[in-house]
This record gives sequence, C-alpha cells and structure tokens, in this order.
Amino acid sequence: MYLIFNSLKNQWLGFVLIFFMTLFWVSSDKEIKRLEDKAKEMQLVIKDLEEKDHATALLIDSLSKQDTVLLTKIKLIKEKEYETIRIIDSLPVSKLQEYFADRYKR
Amino acid sequence: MIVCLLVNCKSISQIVTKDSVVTLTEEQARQVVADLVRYDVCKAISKVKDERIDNFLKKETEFKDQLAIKDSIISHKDAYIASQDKILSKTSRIKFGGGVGIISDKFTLGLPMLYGSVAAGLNKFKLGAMYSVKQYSPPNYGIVLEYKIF
Repeated sequence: MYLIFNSLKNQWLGFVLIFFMTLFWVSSDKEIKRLEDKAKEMQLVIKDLEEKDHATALLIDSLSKQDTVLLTKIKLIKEKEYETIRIIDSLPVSKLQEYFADRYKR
Repeated sequence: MIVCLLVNCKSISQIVTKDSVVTLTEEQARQVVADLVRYDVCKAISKVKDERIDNFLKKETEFKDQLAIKDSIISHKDAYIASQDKILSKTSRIKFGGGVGIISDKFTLGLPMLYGSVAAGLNKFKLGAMYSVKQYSPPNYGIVLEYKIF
C-alpha cells in the first residue's frame, strides 16, 4: 500500500495525464458508438426508402405499359373504323335498313 | 334507290311529328351510317383517352411520390455521409507513433545517447514516454508532452 502511495506521489503527473487521456478516450469511444448507431439507423431508413422507390418505379413502369396498351386500343379502333366505313359503300340496301333498325330499336 | 326509315331523331328527320316516315336516298343513308360509325368510334376513342388521362394523372402522382422519396434518400445519404465523416474525424484524432534515435553530446561523436519513444498525438499535442540509454550513466525514462509549433 505504501509502495503504491509512494509511486502515486512520485509519478503524479504521469498518473494525471494517463487519467485524462483515458477519460478522453472513453468519451470519444462513446461518441463514436453513438454516431455508428445513428449511421446504422440511417442505413436502414435509406434501405426502406430505396425499396419504396423501387416499388414506385415498378408502378410507373406498369402505368407506362398500360398506356401503350391503350394506344394500341385506339389504333385498333381506328383501323376498325376504316374497315367499317369501307364496307358501308358495298353494303346492300337491306343491310342498311337492318343497321338503322338495329340501332334505333323501338 | 330510296331507303325508307322510321325515325324519331330530329337531326335527320324532315318532319318533326312522332313516327313520321323519313325518306333518304341510298347515298344519304350510307353517309348517315358512316357518320354514325365515326360517332361510335369517337365515343370509343374518347373513352380510351379518358382512361389515358386517368393513367397520366396516376403517373403524375407516382412521379411526385418518387421525387419526394428520392429527395428523402438524398437528404438521408447526406446525413449518413456527415455522420461517417464525424466518425472518421473522431477515430483519426488520436495518432500513435514511436521511434528510436541518437542524441550526440554537444557536437562531438563521443558519449552518444540512444533513445526510444512512443507517443499519442491529439491535434497539436503529443503525449508519450521516452526511454534513453547513455554510456556510463543509468538509463533514464520520462513522460514527453510536446506542442507542435510548425
């Protein structure tokens, strides 16, 4: 005990410096740990947001495909219109009467 | 040739009384049928275009959502980078080092002193220990506290 006390008395500057150094180290480690936890948390949030972004991109893609389908539909309707109008010229009168009768049923 | 029609539509009937008989020439009847076909097509196309408009509106909403998500990702990534920078600055603050060397006695080659030191540096401060050996003298050791001037 005496030896320890004597050593402390003789080397007090060294012990004080070591004490402050250790204190600084510990506080710095705690801060780093806190920052690392924050970074991990942020990584999870980013991952979640990226998944949402991917889902939205897929939805936008499906809507674009749907638009292409609708455009094809319009094209088909126009083609049908052209065909029908072309046929009208060669329709017999009976068919014309039938057309009006079907359209304006009593 | 004449086509006889029984219609109650004012736009193509000549006499407006109910159940009147309207007479159209074949050419006129064909034109009316063609117009009706065009009208049906216009209605169908209008319906499809309404669907397209709905689709575009949905897409616009999704794009806005995606933009908000991307902005959020960017801001989170910025915060993540800032956090990593802080970690790096904290971890690299203390630098350890050490070395061995010789110190001469004045400017002579006699009685050189050998020494070794280890130190931890923090910004401009360096704290460590030194151990030195000199001929004809007992070994010496001590704490080194150094401040970097330049």
